[in-house]
Amino acid sequence: MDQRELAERARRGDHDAFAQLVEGSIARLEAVARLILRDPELARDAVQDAYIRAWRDLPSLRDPERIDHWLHRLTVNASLDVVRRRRRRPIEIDIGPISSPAVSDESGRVADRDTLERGFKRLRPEQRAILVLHYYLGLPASALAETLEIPQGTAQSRLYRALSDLKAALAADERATASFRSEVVA
Amino acid sequence: MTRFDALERELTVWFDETAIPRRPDYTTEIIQATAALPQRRWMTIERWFPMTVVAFRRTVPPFPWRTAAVLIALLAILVAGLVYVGSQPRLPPPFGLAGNGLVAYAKDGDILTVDPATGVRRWITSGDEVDELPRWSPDGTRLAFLRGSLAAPVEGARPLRRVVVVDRQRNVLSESVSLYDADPDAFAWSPDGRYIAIGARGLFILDTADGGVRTLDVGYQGLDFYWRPTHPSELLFRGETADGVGLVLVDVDRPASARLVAGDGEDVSRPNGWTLDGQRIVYTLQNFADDSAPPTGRTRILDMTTGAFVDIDGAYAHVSNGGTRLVAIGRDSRPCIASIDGGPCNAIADATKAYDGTYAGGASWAPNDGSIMVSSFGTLALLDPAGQGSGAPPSWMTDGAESWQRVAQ
Repeated sequence: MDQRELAERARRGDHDAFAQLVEGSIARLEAVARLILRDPELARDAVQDAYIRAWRDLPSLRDPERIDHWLHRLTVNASLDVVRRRRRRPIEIDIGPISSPAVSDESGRVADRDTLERGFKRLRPEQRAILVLHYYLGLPASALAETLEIPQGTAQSRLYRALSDLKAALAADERATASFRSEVVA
Repeated sequence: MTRFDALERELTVWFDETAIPRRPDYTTEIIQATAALPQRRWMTIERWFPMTVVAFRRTVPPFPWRTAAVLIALLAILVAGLVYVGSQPRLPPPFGLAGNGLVAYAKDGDILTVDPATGVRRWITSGDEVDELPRWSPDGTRLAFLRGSLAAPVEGARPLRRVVVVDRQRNVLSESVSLYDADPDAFAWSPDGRYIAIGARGLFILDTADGGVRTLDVGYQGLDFYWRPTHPSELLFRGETADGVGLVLVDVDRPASARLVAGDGEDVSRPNGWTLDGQRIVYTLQNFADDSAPPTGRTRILDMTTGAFVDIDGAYAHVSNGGTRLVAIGRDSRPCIASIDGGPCNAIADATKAYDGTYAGGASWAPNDGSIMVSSFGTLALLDPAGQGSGAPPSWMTDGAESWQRVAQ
């Protein structure tokens, strides 16, 4: 049974169909939430919130063809809600599944993995979300716009700005590291 | 390959390596939890009655004489009002407090306005072309927006947009040539309404009288920009000059005048506006050295003449029309209000009502400063600067809210 059919059945209240939808999408949505939140516990909260909302609001989904976009939107919004509610909680990075593999400084690289991790964490959650949707899920600008319910041009602009801010964060990190190194040498 | 391309490639690889999809161990828990929950049901009458019944019920009401009489009376009042308004043109000042007019927004590629007082919506544009980012002129008489020339853009194609300026009667006053990569988040009228600055892969100035566009040869770095209230041809933006990177001020009629007014130090600065006297600039200092997530930041209000400044513990500020206050995002992610002269930033809503501070349209004060429209992904709210009430957005802003028309008080 394809996604559309499952969504149509779930929309009519068939919980077995909804369970199949969950099984088919949860790995992807969980990865999205982990990347945005950088915290497995917060990601768990967000994914749970997203599916609960999905089940409750499925009857209002007008086009079952767009179930994927809809689930992505619910996951992004749930992630942003979680981070807004719990902003002051210390972020703990899961050392296991989302840890950064040790990569040596290769010539020509913009940033090593640790630097990228630090820079990414310093973006606002909205910016992290748009980068994850585009560079992890591979959503083109039109799908980003549909998922986030913003005009396509705005989606392109937000994506560009998120990248610019990431670049600025990496540059700041580079300056801080250089200054630290010079202090150590001195 | 540019440095930007390399960053995009590395980001993709890093995401793939660090977030391998896996079935989480709480999947069964979610399935069980949802099984116990009811679904929300349709609330419309069509859900419960056959359409023929509903349609029949709708086709036979008696003629509403009383309503018609009231409508005719209202129409007469409206016409009389329009005649009066037409004969008494009063315009608001280009900055400072003004009355609240219509709110313009984009939806599904069209531009609409809504009257917050009545909830009445009106299409300004419609059709295949994609229109977005409506912005009222400072005197509220014109509306500018971006129009995409590709109805169904090919993925990967560079977007091509032009600026269209219409009057309140929807007559097109000017239309620019098309620009590649025009940034819908970087688009601002000059205080006198002569120019519109547009960010694209460069900084462009549109003459609103004839739609002519010229490029400014300055080191623009792709963020929002702010016109100086008292000097209508001067623009503040983030850029680079021979003296370094930071906030740059330029007279758009004399591009060579570009000068650095606040250079980056340890922090990265992004502009947020001006005080009404045009003497002090307001900007966010993003502290990337602080290892907290997301970035912490503070707002600086710097007197360009004396160099004196005050810092406020909140970032991404928006100065009120009255010029005495600003709204910012505090360290706890809550929207907060502070005096333009410094002091604490007092929270006015919870963090779920926070706006996206990374673009100028994330928050905007109503012309009379009575409320603040905020938006982010999944968030649309109308905040009370006094901190009273933080409920759902009013029905008139449920479709969007981007630009509030200034009218005479």
